[in-house]
Amino acid sequence: MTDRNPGAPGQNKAVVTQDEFRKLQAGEQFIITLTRDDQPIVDGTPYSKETVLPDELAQNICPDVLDPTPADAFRSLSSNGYGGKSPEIVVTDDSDGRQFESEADSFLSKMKDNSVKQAIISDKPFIDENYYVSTIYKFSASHAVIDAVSYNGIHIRKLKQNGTWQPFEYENPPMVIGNEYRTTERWQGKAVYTKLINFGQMPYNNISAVFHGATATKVIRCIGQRSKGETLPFSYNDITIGIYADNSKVWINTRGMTSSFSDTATAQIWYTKD
Amino acid sequence: MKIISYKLRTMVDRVIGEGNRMIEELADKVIGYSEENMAIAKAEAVNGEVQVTDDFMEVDLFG
Repeated sequence: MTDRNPGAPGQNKAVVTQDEFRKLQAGEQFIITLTRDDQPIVDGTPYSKETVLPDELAQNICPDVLDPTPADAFRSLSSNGYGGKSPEIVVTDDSDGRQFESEADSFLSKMKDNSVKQAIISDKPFIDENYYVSTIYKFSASHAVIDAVSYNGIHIRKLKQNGTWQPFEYENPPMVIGNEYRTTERWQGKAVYTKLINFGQMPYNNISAVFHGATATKVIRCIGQRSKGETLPFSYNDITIGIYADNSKVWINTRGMTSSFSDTATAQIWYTKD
Repeated sequence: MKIISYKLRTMVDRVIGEGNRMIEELADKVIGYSEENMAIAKAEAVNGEVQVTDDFMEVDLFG
């Protein structure tokens, strides 16, 4: 919009009829026609419904409000987050995630197709104990994405595909020992899970296996970490440490081990489940 | 070759972030038999309890 630039700021033109002038002279109430006459150098953009909140825009921003005002439009926009107060999808006692999904469906039902909103989400204790700031993308009633970040930088997402919510997935799982995380990675189209396993003491010039406890159908990667430093597998001079995994166990095989190199280890596996 | 079997204890944080809740989990572990490995097994097995049995690992590994 452009500001009006008056050549004669505040100047108005007054017109009064003879009859009204007589009323003025008689000390009676009279009517004059007052017209702005500020001699603009630049006319500026007129302040009108068309320039402030045209009907098609009002209908788009707040479709459920009859005869919306600019305040209704701002109210609707601020309810989407993005600087305004974000709405919430907060579930505090969800045993299997279904309660959160029901709340999320209710939230989606108030969004238009191909639209975006922000929301504070929490699904305790199903995800963890944190609140996440999320962006919710609705493509249709059957397809949506919740993309969320917590205060500690953990980034998760949840997809609704063909009408079915998928489990939460981690972009950057914190890799706490013993916990299984579904990741955003895919292997041959299947969701990839990961788990960090305490291996305990590595074997002394021998083979050893720890049951990892994951219900894996295909382990696609395995890497280890010797507690004092090196990654596994490892080979240096006569010392060789092999590591690998199958669907039930992580194996470590050592050769040339010295007492100074004997140590505990952890192993991280990545696998599909279906 | 013989193997040593035992339970390995791991403390697991089941809740990430605030309100940590550490729980104990036990994992089965097997290790090839030798005097050194028996010492390892007894040191980290729950209550020091280990079992020595005949080898099944190669069959399990490549089967």
